[in-house]
Amino acid sequence: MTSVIEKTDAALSAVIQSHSFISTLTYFESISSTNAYALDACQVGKIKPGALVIADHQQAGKGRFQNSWESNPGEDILMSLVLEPHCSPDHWARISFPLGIAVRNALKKILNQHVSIELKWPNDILVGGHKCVGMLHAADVSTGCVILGIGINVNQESQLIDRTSLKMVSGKALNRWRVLNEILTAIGTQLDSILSSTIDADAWNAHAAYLGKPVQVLDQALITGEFRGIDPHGAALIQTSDGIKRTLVGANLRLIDGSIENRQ
Amino acid sequence: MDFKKIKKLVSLVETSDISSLSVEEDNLKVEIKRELQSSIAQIPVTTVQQAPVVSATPQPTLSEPPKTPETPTENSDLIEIKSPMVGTFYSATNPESKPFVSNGSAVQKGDIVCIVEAMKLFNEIESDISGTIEKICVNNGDAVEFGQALFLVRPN
Repeated sequence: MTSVIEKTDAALSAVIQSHSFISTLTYFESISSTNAYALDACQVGKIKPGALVIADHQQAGKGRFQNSWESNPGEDILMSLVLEPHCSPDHWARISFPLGIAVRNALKKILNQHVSIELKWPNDILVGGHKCVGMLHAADVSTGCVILGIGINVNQESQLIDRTSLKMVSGKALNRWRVLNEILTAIGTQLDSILSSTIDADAWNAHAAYLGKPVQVLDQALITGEFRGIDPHGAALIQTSDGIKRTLVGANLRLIDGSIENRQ
Repeated sequence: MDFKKIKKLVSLVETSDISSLSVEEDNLKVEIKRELQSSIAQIPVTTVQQAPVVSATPQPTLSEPPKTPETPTENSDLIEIKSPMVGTFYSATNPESKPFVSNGSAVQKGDIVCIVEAMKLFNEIESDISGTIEKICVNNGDAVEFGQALFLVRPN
């Protein structure tokens, strides 16, 4: 049975209160998944747009389908933000692009300016070439809400070769709520673009991972070629021997040059 | 190119930011242009070229926009559950789980019938009506378009 332990934290509450677009905070010591909780709570009207759900630990933190997203309690930021987009549901999947730019901007303020922070299509963030931020979103058309699930490796010291954390990159432990404050500030700055799912392809491509490199992505068939960034709809563009292919529905863009990122 | 495919192309243009789309297949070229008048998008569909027909079957020529079938569809008793977005259709939460529904399943309004995913945004699709699943129109893992029928439901 899933144990759910709610808690309070004065420092966290103070951070939340400084961001006007956050209406409520639900903070768990442990929960199965912040996204699952937020989706269920949203559907029954327990939480509304603007709600932020945070957990110290997720018992069933998820990446895409079977991919696990593991963290030790209290080390990282595991959050779900409930928003009500201003655009129609068929554009909601584009929300990752302005959100990714916002999260990257926040990390840029926290980390040494020389560290590379890249956006990996469609919605991961690589720091120094390794995965540091993962995002997974859930939509509920009936309530008009999107649950933005964001996991940021802050203080974990992952043994996985393809993962990193802000601590591993900077060499020092960071205050999670300071990082969260920067993330929420950046989201607040980009809020109009996020709510309207507006894509600035040039801005995203300026920091795209794997640009010009050989990649593979699985759509209905495996697409292999050189990554050319995204188009204004958020589709990944792959230059193949048969011309440029675009995919909106594929996932897990992978390098195919045998480097460590390939194992993500 | 069948009528269903042309309908999909019209939906694609309607829901995107592109102003025109040209597709050539089986000796038939279809060009769809969007003309904005005030705030209402007009989407004329015209056949701009009909190449020599190789087969004995004449190719269709469209001179006006195809009418989007209103639900109920060809079987007047059945109601479509449509995809609200472009994405990938999943019949279950994960590969090890049972499908949300199968042919003959009874569904209540609000029941989750599938997931459509695009770029790691997962959309649990609910049934608009109570009834019985008569047909699952797509296969697990198929790419689906905006407005594409996913299920046919016989209402109670």
